[in-house]
Amino acid sequence: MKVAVCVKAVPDAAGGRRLDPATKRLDRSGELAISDFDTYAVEEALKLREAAGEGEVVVVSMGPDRAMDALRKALAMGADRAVLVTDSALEGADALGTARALAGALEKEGADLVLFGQQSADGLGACLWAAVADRLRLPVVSQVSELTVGDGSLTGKRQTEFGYDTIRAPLPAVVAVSDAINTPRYPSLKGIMGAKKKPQETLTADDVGGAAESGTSVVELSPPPPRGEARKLEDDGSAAEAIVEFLVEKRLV
Amino acid sequence: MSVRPSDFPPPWSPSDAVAQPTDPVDERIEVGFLIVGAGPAGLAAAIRLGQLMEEDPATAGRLGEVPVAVLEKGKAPGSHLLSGAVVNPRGLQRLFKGRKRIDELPFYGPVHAESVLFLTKSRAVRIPTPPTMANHRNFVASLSQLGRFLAEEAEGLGVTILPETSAERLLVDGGRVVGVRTGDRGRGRSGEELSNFEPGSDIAARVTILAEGTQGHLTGAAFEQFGLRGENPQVWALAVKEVWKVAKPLDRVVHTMGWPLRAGRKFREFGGSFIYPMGDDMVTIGMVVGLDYRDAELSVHDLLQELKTHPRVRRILEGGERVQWGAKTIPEGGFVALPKRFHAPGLLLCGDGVGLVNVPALKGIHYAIESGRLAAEAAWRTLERGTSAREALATYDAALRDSFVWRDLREVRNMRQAFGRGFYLGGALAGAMTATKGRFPPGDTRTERDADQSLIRTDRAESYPAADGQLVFDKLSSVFASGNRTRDDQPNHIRIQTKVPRELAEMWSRMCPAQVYEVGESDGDGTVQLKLAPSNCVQCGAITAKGGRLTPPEGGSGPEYTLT
Repeated sequence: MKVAVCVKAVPDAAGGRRLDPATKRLDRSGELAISDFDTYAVEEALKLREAAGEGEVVVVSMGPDRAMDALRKALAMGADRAVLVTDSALEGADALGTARALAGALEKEGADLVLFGQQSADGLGACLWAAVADRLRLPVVSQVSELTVGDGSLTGKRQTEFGYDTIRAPLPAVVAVSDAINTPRYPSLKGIMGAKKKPQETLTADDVGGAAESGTSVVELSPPPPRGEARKLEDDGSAAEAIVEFLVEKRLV
Repeated sequence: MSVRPSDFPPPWSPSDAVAQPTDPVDERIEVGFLIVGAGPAGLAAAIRLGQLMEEDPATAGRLGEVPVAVLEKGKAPGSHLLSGAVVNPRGLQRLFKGRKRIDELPFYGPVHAESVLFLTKSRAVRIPTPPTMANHRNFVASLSQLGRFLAEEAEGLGVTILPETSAERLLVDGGRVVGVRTGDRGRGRSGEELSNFEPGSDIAARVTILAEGTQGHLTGAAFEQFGLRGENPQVWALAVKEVWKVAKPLDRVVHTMGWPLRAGRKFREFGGSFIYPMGDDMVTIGMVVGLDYRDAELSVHDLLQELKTHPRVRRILEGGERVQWGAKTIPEGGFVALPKRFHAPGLLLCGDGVGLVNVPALKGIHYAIESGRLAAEAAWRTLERGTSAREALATYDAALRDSFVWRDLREVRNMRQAFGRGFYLGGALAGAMTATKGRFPPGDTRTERDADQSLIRTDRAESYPAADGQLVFDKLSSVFASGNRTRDDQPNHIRIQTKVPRELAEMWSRMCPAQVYEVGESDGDGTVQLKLAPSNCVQCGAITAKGGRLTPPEGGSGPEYTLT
């Protein structure tokens, strides 16, 4: 079985993420790291490959050429190879443009299963998996916290607000996993040492069917509104009561 | 009765950090040369080895699939690097001789002007720059950025860098260092294996170079194991610094002495501050205080906050915004605290780990780089036919003793110890030492361990300014600004007694810039329970100087500095 995992290299959160007022885009000049949410998808793909005893896990991404360093973490965890779509024509692509580029790369791969994390750690869009599935005309299941695959179909336990849906879909399919599905492994030392030597392929916009016009554009940026008035309680022994009182007053409990 | 931190030693022994290899031979990871620590010393060693491999590919071929590996406990190279820093370029120039020009290095530019200020609470008096502190022809840099640059250079030369990997044990077999064991990952709070548990590995190497920086975990163990400790114990200072985006450029390098430190001999408060421009729009400001201080209420973090309220300093930061914060210890024992030898069978030791720091000049980065370069050349000599490994490694000691590092440190040999005699007398002695290039006063001054200083208590904490989130910050928001994202359900990595006199617990809680220690319930017998929040730790190492023991937490933990 061949599993493709779509991952995103995002600016490392430690330095604080910043919107660049000039380009109205996220400042991606600093260190890039694979989005935390995506490591759950990588882990799930590795588990499926291990359970099947055969198969291939390929990570697919779109981003600046430096993103390959971030993809190497997925290779260190155990993915077999990486494909990065990188092209200045794709800079600033919105979900639509990104979906087209990823779908183009995925079409070349012809994987049995395409995995996504639930959302990116920077844009928090939580929609790319749907857009990619739509372009590939494949079924899609999101927010999956338990996944089994076999006999040409998959069964996913889908987390909802009030419980779980169990959904079966024929393969090939697109699945967005939740961060409750597993605990991503640490790359082993041998894995880290071997990652550099694994196949790493870059594709241009032309390789994936050309750059698409973005369907959206950013008109304006404004800082989030201040949090409003906060009341600070110093605990002299009565803070717990005061908090309960406040919650009752606001009808929150 | 006065309390000394050393009366409450940590439940830890150096032998905990030494072991025999345990992995089956076919599972062991084999590398040629193994370097512990991706700082200036370790990366200089890596780069020099890379250069030698390039010059002599046939010999390099004998080193196997991974000729040079560098272990780094931080998330990435640079994550745990913090310094002032005004860099003397000499070390880098020698390392990159004929390969790189100064303008190709990641510096913020040369030092154009400098001031040394003596502060009182409200005034600043400019004093002549002591000759040891003159920074003409030096360059301002972020060590974290310099580290990332050096790591890329090293990788380009075929060096393998392994970040997020702590070196937990020195592997010793038959009296010889044969490599290190890396730390486990994925353990729970009480040490249990979590579902993603990834055990550490034995890494075997023909030579291991320890370049762990200040308070090196394995370096300390190696000192004991091979009897390397010098006659005087090492002492440390704690530095806490911030990086600011500023509204107007600072045109000079500034050092301050005096306030908010106190001059009285009984306080033993040795230190000062640095304020450096990083280009036109950033400034870094830090406070450094010797850890032989006595006041249980002293907090270097809060002294830095207090310093920023001085009218002269506030003016520099006005309209700006703090973008990063961090803390680290500096070995300050100098020449007299150096180890007896810098090598042992299979092992070479470099940089801050062995205390190659010139305190009066406030510099050590170029010594770290030079020692790393020399260590690499000695390690490479083990490949020469007809030279025994023992002879090859001993050339490192000889080369270091013959280098500018040794000459510089010898000239300022007793400077730091003099300040234990009080600020003014110490200053006069330091001046005399400078004038005589270390010949006066004769004889070496004894150093007392930081943890041997008995505690006193004053009410100085009352003057620490309250956090306003603009100019003055509390410790927790500062830990956040260090980029620390340590998983908080991992085992405690700090060895320390937890039932101690209140005064000691208070000293630890004030001292720690990252709010790891909290004074807990009273036991009713004069002692209190010490409570720990180890995931706050930024691994500055102060606790090791002052009565506890820092060990490396899970690899990838700790701060993620980018500008410090």
